Amino acid sequence: MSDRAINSEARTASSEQDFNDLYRRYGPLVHGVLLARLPKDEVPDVLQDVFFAAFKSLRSLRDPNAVGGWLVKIARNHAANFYRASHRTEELADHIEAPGGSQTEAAEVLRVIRSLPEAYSETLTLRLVEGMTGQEIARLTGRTPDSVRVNLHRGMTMLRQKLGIEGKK
Amino acid sequence: MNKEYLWSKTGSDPELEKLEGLLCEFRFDRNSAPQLPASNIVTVEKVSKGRWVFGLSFAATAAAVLVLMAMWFTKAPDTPIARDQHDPNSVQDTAGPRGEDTSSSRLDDRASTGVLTAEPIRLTEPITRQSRPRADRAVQIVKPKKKEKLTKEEKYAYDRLMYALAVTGSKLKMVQDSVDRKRDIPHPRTTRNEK
Repeated sequence: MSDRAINSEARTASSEQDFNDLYRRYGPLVHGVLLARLPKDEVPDVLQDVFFAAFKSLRSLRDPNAVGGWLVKIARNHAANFYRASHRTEELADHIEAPGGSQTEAAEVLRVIRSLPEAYSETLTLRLVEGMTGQEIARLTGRTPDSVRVNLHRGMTMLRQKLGIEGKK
Repeated sequence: MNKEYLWSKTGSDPELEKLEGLLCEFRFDRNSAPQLPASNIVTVEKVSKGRWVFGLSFAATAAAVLVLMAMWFTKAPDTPIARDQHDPNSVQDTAGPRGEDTSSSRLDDRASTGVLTAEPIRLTEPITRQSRPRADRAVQIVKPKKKEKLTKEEKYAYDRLMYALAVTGSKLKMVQDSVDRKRDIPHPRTTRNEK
């Protein structure tokens, strides 16, 4: 690909730095939101699309403190668009693994988390997969801490029930 | 379930730690360099509309010029200059195919010199453009070497004729002006009918 073909706006050093900062800071947030909705093999591609879409329209964002919530909305829209497009093509999932092992167990836990209501699955993914604390989730997504706390507790309770952890006790 | 560990990771909860250990394989890799969108996007250079408009107008102008040139060259042999260029001997060759001067060539000769004579014009044969050979159709635009001198009677007749033509022309002009003035004023009957 020739240099002329590259978009000049995104080519400057300062723009690269901005993009890297944005990606490193909000990458886990967007990754968690997408992982709660999409097959894990599709997440990296959609993640790139989300950040590129955000980067293109970053100047239109009025409140710089609302970047997290804005990115979450873009990620949700891209996830919805992915399912709309994939319904037409009917692609098969390519992440089928052999039974047994920790990978299968982790995939099963993730599948159960995805089966929870959206508010709970998203918050639990950010907490358990991305390792964020409740305060970080509240700050990055723009939700109130109380809301995040409630979602965490209710979601965790439902997850334990579905995984049968309560029964073992 | 340790609620504080779930909220702020303070304290310990083996059950949650196990889940975190299981799910950490799906975690976002902070060290992975992001693929810059600029490397994945091919932008197409915008072609300005002005360039298209200029090109189209240039092509249209060139086509029009070509058509006009083609029309000019197809008609060119009939023009006097081209005929003169085509046959330079036609100036001297005033004689017709039968050795006689054609009446039109003599008339043209006198018109170009500005000298009128009282000699009547004789039409020996009907003049048609197709019947005459090409050399005879050449217009004579040659100045005579010396002017023909008119006799006293011819000069008198020429002056009278010019005077009569001048008087007639001025009267015709007056008539034309009065007709134009009457046309500008609407007819009274017509205006009444319209009302």
